[in-house]
Amino acid sequence: MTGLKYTIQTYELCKKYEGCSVVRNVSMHVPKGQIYGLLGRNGAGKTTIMKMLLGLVKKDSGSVTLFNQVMADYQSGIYARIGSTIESPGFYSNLTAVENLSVFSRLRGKVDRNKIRKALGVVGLPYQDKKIFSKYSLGMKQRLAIANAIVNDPELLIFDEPTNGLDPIGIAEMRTLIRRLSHECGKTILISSHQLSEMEQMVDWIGIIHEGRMLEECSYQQLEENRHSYIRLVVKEPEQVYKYLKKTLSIENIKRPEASVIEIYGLKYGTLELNSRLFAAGLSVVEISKCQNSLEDYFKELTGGAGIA
Amino acid sequence: MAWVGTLIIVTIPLFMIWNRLVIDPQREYMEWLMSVLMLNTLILPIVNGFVITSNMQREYQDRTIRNVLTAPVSREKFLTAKLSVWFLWYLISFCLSEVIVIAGCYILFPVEFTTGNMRYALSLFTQNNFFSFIVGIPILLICVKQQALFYPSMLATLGSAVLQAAGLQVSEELILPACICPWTAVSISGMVGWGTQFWRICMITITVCGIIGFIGALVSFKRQDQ
Repeated sequence: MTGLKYTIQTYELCKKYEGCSVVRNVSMHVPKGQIYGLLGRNGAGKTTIMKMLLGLVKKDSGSVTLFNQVMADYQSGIYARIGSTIESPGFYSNLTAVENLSVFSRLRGKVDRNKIRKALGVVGLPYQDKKIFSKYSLGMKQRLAIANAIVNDPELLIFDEPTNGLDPIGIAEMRTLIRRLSHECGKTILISSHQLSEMEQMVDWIGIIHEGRMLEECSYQQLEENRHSYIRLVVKEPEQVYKYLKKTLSIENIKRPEASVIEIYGLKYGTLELNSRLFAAGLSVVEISKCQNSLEDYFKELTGGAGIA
Repeated sequence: MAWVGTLIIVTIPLFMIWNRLVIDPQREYMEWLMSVLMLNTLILPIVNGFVITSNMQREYQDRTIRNVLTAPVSREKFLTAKLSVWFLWYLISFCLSEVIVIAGCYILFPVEFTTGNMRYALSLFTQNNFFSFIVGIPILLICVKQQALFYPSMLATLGSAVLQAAGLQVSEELILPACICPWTAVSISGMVGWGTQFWRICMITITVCGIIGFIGALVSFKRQDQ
């Protein structure tokens, strides 16, 4: 990770709530202009980390560096450069989208109607709408939260589970929007989610967090490499095949997830060669394929068996 | 909530005018004025507490406080702004109420409607209302502490109103302890003469109560995780 410029860096960040550690020594590095996905189960500490970055929650120990500036607790000056949505969208229920965005724009210093119109357009909400916030669907509320985050054209965007409540088309649109914000507009984006498939399609960097600990932090490309490839065999005589693989071919890393299924890790042989050898040994193969561990499998491996959902 | 609060506050003198005109036409000027003051002392702190509770609680409940604090707005400014808006609403409401009281005096007691009497009535009500606001500031601290809840500050508001009303009934022997308790001191300050020793004690306890309430709210809010 050397040679990269970081928009966010944390060092040994810790937070306890009533004696219970929710964030434990988290060191995180979010490269400038990239999408960083913070992946973890519900209650893993993702939101608390984001809140600490935004000064909404006071850290117990550790340090936060934003835009190369070490942050003191609740120091507000730098937050004008950050747009964020944390947990469920918080807006004044009796105001319309434009009125709400105007209120928060005013707090940032200036109300620019064109920026509000543009932000609403980006998230697909109508500008001329008299509907008040309390009448919005959850999806519309999420969109308004994104609009509020981007209205001021910030350099850094922090999105906490932004696709919650969106329908599949809405999720796809949100993904496209987030990618566009990063790749076309050069925004640095920190996004949290517990939806692996969603993260896979979006992020450049990934941080896997479990029970408040950062288990792994790497580029998505590196993660792809780390995920184990294996050969999956469906056979008629699993016992004989298993013995043959172990004894004759000296393959050590073999798993048997189902009675007739054998998974070979380490990729000592290619599928073609393995198939030929098994055939030559008189063992029939029903199906043979090269597979890769899914992100969920990898997540389970890292967390010692705990799934994501 | 603020509009409803203002409506309730201005309804008190209107009700008392109607009461004097329709139900009790024999009631004399001073008795009528004290009745208005009594009702005012009881109702005003309650409405006041409702307004600030509603104002603060909704920020927590709707989670708008997060958007405000990350806008960014400093926590000191946020709380000071809340206090200022709260006071402005209170000032407008009690001024409207006082205008109605004076109009009531003019309609009901034309003989007693003299400059001296009106000055006394205005100073009595203004002092009482102003002090009532100051001793209500600790409600802001409870609002910060309770976050999305509302009943702790509501209970405190009712307690404050009861104490303020009880202050009007304090006997002479208990006047010193009543001066030391900021909530009873509000009512005592209107009964003892302006500038007397008791009035000064009342003034000090009320001011200290307000300052402690605001500083406490500020410290608590600055330490609070959102």
